[in-house]
Amino acid sequence: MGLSWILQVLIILGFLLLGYGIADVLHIPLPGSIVGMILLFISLVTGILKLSWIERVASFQLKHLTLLFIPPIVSLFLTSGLSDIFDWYVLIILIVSSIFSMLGTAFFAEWYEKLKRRDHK
Amino acid sequence: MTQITGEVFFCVIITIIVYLFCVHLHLKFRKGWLNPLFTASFLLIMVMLAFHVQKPAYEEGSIIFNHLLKLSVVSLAVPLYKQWTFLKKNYKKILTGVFGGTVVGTLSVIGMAQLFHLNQQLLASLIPKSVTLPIAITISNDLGGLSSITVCFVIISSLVPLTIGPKLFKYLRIRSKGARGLAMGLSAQMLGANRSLHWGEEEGAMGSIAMITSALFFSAIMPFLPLLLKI
Repeated sequence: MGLSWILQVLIILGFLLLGYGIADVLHIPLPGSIVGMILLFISLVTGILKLSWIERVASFQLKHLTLLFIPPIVSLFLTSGLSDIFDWYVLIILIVSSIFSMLGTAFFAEWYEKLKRRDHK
Repeated sequence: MTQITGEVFFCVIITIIVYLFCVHLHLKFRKGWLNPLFTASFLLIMVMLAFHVQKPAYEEGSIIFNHLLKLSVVSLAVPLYKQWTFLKKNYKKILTGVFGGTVVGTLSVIGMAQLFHLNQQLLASLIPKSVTLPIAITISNDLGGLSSITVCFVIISSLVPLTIGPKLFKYLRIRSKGARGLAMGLSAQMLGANRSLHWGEEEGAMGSIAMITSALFFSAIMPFLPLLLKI
């Protein structure tokens, strides 16, 4: 059985705080939340922490992740001077570069698969 | 003072209510364009304008969501752990794709920024755009950037692959499951990983792995980017 959801939240919160603490003390140039995520991942892989202890809250959080993106969008629209940020060339850069990163990934992954297939022959 | 706190409280509650309403709407009609991200944002902007809520009050209210976002980043360890065996088996392919895609994408941003003579600050906020949203916002916050701009950049750049990606793959004859999943996950993040799940399980797994590993990769190289940009 899983733990009660309050305990689950406290565990995840503990990893977040631990991440911030460790990043601060060791001067790791990563955001504390990412350090916390890595620590949680390591604890899961090594079996220190059981997946069922945090699974319910973690899945709930990720399922409703969309909610957390709405406030920044709303704040952006409440700001005046939106047109300062969105010049046409910013849009071009956004569109072209996302196509580049998509095709770059696909070509590199396919290239690797081809190499591997040739090795097998 | 009490009025301000009341306004902040109102913002938090109304955001949650509108979101839940839009999720319900999305589940009921199952239309792609009813994505709660768009419908809820649109409705909320209308509500805020109607009630003349000022930006500072709303931003103060959204601090709580910002903290929840940090918790969600920690929770991303769970999907990563669930796909650990799959990840171990395919790590070379994943690393090749993610590394290649990130480098090509970042170089294209830097190259075009030179072409259009972009200022350093705008360039800095453009670079983390291809990272999954919770992490992009965290990075942008930590760099002192504007998280709301980052969100817009991330969303615009993930809509592009989402709309033309599948057709482009067909046109360019990219049929490999791994390549398609990785590419969608890296370029369109959560929305892309969700889209690649429609193709199949392997594509879906690759999609979410690409999303998380590219974010990790990015946050690892982020501190060194300022040095790189100076050259």
